[in-house]
Amino acid sequence: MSQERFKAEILPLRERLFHIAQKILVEEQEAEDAVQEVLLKLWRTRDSLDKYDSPAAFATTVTKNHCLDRLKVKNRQESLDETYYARAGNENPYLDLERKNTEEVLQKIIESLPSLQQAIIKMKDMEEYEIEEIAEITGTKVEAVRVNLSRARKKVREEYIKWTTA
Amino acid sequence: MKITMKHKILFSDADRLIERYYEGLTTVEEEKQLRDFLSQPNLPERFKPEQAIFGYFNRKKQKPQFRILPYVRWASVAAVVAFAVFSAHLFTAENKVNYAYIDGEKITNTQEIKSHALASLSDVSSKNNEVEDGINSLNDNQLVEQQLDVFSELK
Repeated sequence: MSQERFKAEILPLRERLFHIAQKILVEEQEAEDAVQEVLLKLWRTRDSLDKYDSPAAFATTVTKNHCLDRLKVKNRQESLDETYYARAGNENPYLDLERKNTEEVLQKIIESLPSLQQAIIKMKDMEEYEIEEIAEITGTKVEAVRVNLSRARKKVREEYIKWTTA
Repeated sequence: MKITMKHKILFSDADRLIERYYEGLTTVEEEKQLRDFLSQPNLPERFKPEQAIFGYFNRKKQKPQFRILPYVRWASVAAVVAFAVFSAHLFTAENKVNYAYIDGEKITNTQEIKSHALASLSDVSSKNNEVEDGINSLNDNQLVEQQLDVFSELK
């Protein structure tokens, strides 16, 4: 599917996808993030979207599945965070080992970002998209993308310094 | 915003760009300049986190290339080795001559070897008769019976 067709056929579905997301996730901000993520996901796979009889129906299914996954991850993460902090309190030789490897540490930090921030930072800092392009794909304002990107970058720095100096 | 100095930017410029980077305000082009700046060795301590972070993203970008390079390198090594073996084989093959040792003497004349070989083969065929004779003697019923008689006597 071409860039133009993506904009003409997928982006107008945004409203509908948002309603689906909000039904599952309830919180408005979460639903908004989820929709942006789904749109980025669809953008990445736009070459194969033509395979489906109805790209619109496919986008709906992707949104539903994505929101359900998000719900699951959220529940799991809450319990993970607790165990992480419980463990970090004690001396842990494995954490020392991990600290030595910048690559691994940064990868873990990025993976621990909220998934939309993760998607945005990867697109900007690895794939070299401009913010305006990301905003267009996700059907959001440039400012919204910038805020998410800024949060992601600051978080990476903050966590990295924490890991290396702790 | 335009920055004219392509590769070497001042520390103060870098500080300002880094600040903008964290606000999500830098363009891809500005981030490239920052990356070039941060790839220098011996930068002040305060740039260390950004050096690590930009280095990480840069490696992620280049990963596909890194994956291909060693493969190409090893393939070229393999090609050189294969060529060397092949040409060495060709070189030695040219010097190969038919030869045979006959009564401890090396003979390279093909005709001579052939006649010697035929002669020794006829030797073998004449010896076939001896084998047959041997078998015939085994077939000798009398002999067998004589030997069996020895056993019957034991009864």
